[in-house]
Amino acid sequence: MIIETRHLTKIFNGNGGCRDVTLSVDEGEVFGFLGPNGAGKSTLIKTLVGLCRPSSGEGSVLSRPIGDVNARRSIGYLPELFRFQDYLTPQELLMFHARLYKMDMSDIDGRIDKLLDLCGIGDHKRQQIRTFSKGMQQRLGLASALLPSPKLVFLDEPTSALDPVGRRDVRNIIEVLKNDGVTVFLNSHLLSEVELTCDHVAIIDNGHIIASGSLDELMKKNKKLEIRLGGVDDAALSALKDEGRKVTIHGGILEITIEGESEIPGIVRTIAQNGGNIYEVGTSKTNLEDIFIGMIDEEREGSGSNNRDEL
Amino acid sequence: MAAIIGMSFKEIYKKKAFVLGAVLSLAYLFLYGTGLHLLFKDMTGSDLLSNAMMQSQLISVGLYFASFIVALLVILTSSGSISSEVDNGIMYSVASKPVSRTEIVMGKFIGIGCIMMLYASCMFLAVIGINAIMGSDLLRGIGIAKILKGLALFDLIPVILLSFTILGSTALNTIGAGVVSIILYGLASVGGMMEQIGASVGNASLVNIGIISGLIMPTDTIYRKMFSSMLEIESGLSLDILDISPFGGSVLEPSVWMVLYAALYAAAMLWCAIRVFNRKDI
Repeated sequence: MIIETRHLTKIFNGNGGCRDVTLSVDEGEVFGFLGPNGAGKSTLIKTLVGLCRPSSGEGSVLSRPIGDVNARRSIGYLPELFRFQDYLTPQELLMFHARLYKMDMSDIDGRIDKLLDLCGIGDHKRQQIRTFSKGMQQRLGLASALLPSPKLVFLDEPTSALDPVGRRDVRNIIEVLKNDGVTVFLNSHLLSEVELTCDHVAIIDNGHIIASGSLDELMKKNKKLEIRLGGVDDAALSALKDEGRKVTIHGGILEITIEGESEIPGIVRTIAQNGGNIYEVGTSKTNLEDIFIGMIDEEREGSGSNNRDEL
Repeated sequence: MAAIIGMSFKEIYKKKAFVLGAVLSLAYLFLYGTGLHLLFKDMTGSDLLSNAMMQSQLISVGLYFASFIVALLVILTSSGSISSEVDNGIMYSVASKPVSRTEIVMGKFIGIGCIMMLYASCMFLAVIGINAIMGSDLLRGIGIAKILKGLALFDLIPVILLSFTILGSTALNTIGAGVVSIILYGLASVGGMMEQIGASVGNASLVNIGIISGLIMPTDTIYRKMFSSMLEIESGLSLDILDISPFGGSVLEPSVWMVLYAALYAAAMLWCAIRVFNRKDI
């Protein structure tokens, strides 16, 4: 495992942070870490890269204990709040970072040029960073994260300041990293991007992991059943809710979240037994956003508080 | 650590405060030189004692305010050395690299310290040089060795202040670190003056206040040690007794143990800074 945590907790004066996080990330995976604002995503990343000291629990990164200085030689990190010495040029900044990484300086100019080109700021390598837009600075941060030819890259909201073209570029870079066997730990609000790039995901809310697993399994297990009824029947609805199902009604269509097709006959039976007239039954694809919002709502309603799924 | 030291050099050079400080220092030296020129022109009397007293005071005034300017510049350049980089996020991209927190603190200390010692040396030599050019008889009897001894002690002042300010910068925010350092520097200066006044009028309480302030921040103690060591004509007798101004004269000369204490003080502050920064969540 490239990353492994066991009951890792980081809290600040008893508040915030992340609590009791147990997860593992395999080599070469693109791992999506999702959660609403303030859920504890950045805290976990900062703990994993050694910026914060764990309050309790343990973990390892690249088979070394969390915070190990030598392990960081093979770790790239793009922080959410990216700021650099703005009096430097990108070339000077990456040269400084290369020295911090204690890299071989014999062909460093070539590597820096290549990375700046890859991240789309090659034409600005001699321009002071203070003249850069936020998007350009984020691209520079990405170049810095890729500088040491890392085995593991942490990207904390890597597209927050980028336009659609920039977001596509980042997706392409993640694809290249994946093909090269680099493990990517991606923290993003843009769920459509996570859906396009990630193999595995974990969802965190209020500092706790509420779900984790492969993206495929997550999508399969969170299908939506759509049933057209001849008028909404209160008895059928009550019966479904009594079974603990999450039911919503949109334009006379009953939408029920299911974890597999095997649940469909039972649902149809319940409706029919309670006098509901079924005209049409079908399933629709759910997207990650629906799953994410559903899980967060469920967690906050309290029904999910005792249901920390391992999918 | 070399990368951090190099970046500290670059950062100071790029900071407007340092350039402004250098320009104002030149203005100060010009003003001081002009004042000295006018005073030495009138110092033609045959009263050797009053001439020596005047010359001693002119050197002490020059060095005292040079030390004050150096202290302010040290505080300005170092109060945000850690804290501002943590606050604005630059530290994320530095501390996440394969570099220990100890290296970061030490790199900043050595980088800023070297520049400040160089700057302090220039100020010290400029003040002494101006006095020598103007024909100070007092300096003629001192010799190069004592001037170099004085220079070494003068350079210790920014090192002491820097170690304390860097500790402040790891534990507090930039403004907090700057304010605490300035207040303690001021406290040490006032305490030092009170100690000298107390010694001259035989008031033990005032002397004790000065000793305590010197233990809390030994910058003024080292300044007075520097001045009396430089003007020492034979063991135990220093011409600084000629200086009745509050800027240099030492009725009660600090012992050599205070120099050792000051060096240990700087090392202890640096050690504390490393410990605090090692435990800090960024």
